[in-house]
Amino acid sequence: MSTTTLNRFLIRIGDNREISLAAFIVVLLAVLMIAVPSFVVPSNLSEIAQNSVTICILAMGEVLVIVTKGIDLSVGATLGMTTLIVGQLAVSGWPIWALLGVALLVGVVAGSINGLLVSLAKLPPIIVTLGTLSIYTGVMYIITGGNWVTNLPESFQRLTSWSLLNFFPVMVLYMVALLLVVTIFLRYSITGRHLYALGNNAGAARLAGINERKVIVIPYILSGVLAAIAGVLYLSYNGFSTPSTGSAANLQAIAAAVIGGTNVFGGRGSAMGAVLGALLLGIISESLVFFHLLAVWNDAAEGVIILIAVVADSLLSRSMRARGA
Amino acid sequence: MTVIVFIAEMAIFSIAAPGFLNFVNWLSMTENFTFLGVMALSQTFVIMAGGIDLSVGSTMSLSGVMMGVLWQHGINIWIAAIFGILIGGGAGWVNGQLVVRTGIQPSIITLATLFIYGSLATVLDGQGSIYGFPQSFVNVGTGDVFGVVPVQLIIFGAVALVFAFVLKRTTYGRLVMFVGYNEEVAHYSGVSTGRVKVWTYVVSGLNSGLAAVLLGSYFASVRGDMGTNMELSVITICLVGGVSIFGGSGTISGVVLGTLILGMLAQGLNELNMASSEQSIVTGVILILAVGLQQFNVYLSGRRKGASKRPGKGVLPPISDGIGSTES
Repeated sequence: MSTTTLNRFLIRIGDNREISLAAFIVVLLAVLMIAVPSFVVPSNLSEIAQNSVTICILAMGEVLVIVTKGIDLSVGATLGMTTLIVGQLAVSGWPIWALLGVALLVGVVAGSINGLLVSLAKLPPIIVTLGTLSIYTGVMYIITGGNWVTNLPESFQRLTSWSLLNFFPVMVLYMVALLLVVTIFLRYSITGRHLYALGNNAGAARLAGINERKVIVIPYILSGVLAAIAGVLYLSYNGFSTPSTGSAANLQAIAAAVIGGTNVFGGRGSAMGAVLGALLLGIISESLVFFHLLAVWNDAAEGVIILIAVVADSLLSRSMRARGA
Repeated sequence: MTVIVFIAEMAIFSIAAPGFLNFVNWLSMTENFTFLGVMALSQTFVIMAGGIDLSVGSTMSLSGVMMGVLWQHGINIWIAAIFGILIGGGAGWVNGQLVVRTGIQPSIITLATLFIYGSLATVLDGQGSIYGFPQSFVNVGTGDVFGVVPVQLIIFGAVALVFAFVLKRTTYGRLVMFVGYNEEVAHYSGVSTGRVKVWTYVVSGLNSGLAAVLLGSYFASVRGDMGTNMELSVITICLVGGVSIFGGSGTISGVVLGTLILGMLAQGLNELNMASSEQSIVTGVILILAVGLQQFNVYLSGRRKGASKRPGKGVLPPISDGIGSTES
């Protein structure tokens, strides 16, 4: 195969998941612009972006966990739990700073339960988070007695309803801020690099002196905290919450992370990729509505997408390894 | 150990809810959960071979709905039922192929198919539920032999016996244990690990279909969401029944006991007026406790013998990763 500059350039783009995802999104939007012109308008795109913020944040948390070869099935339930607790307290008049504190607390506790069970008790993450998923979901019903949480105070909803310079919706800004924090953490902090090491080759990482037991807890706690933050934003943006809030978000977050290049075998992944993956998912599911696809097909579509993403990822990494990359 | 738990549980409930410990009552109560036991029996094989099947609930929904839809279009209910079961097997086959050919963790694959099959089931069941099955069919789920022993319980018992026989006395059964215990060695010994694993998923799908038939005949109706969240209970039953989540060990009798324990637990909690959403908390806690106990046992025997209880996994016991991962 000839190695002209163009070829090498294309290979570099293809290997870089974030760039190819961004390119794919642009292409997709271009196609949609031709097919359904009313879709690609700023107001619609802005709404899609803001609606995707929740999954973007959850997906960032999943990246942290999946990179260490784990998984977190309970993020949606943590988000839901946070919305209900914070929601009820907000309705009772708690000040915003206290609400944020409560949210962080819920996230830390939920995440810690997962993290401790995985690291100290050495239980498989799939089982642990399957268990906590049902526990938190059950808690959600108990907190509310099955009722919705509505009538949130204006001040709380205003957290997410304004736009910077009348152009950048603050939801997106919050997400970008978190993206920066998580990316810096993953790429430039010692703990972050340890996560990659553990996912890539746990044995070698251990022998290199990384305290696996202490480090493994962290991604789960962070995942919980991020889910809680996403919960607060969701509650403020949507203005209500139900006992089944967040149940679909679990798979979407994982799908977004995987589409974004996070390898389920651990050791690879980026927050930016996850965000792009979430945006892609958001665009796809919105456009499915435009094409008059029933909402019930959404789940199937997401399942198929995650399968394609995961299988393609596995084939790609296998061929890359064969190439010696 | 599991037997003790069972006896203790029955004792507690007999005290807490008078009238609970009535043998005839007890027998008919099993109709409420034998379908879970049927799914747990096949899940046992999947887990023992080192995998996991999270899509059993959705497969059950899909099978049930297919059965209902076919019946609605005039097909004989029994043939429709068989068809439904075969569809379940097909779904399981797809799972198996995906798992074996891509090498991706079964937890991820079956998580995705959980949503795909579940969504398909909902779509097929357009109008909400299909009901009105003929009485002869309904008798399967609700009938009694000698007026006392539920037909469902007999079916469950028969399936359990078959599975126990296959596990202990057939080559396939021993291969399943082998593959789960140490897949690499099995592979190098010439065992066709891929085929062994695919079959576990196919059987899991078939049993999900059978469970759909049982539940469908019990309620004389099927719905697109009839299997939602069942996978949690099924996996918990397996773990409580002593099947090691890491594969390679477990017994059918343990799983049968596990079915009884969890099934009766649900019944007992119902008597105590606990809502099903609250019961899911209990199930989640039990799941974690059960796997925690297993891990604790591994830890104990590791300390006693001074060697890792899982050969082929290296000297240092690794932090558990996703189920079914073949990398250490």
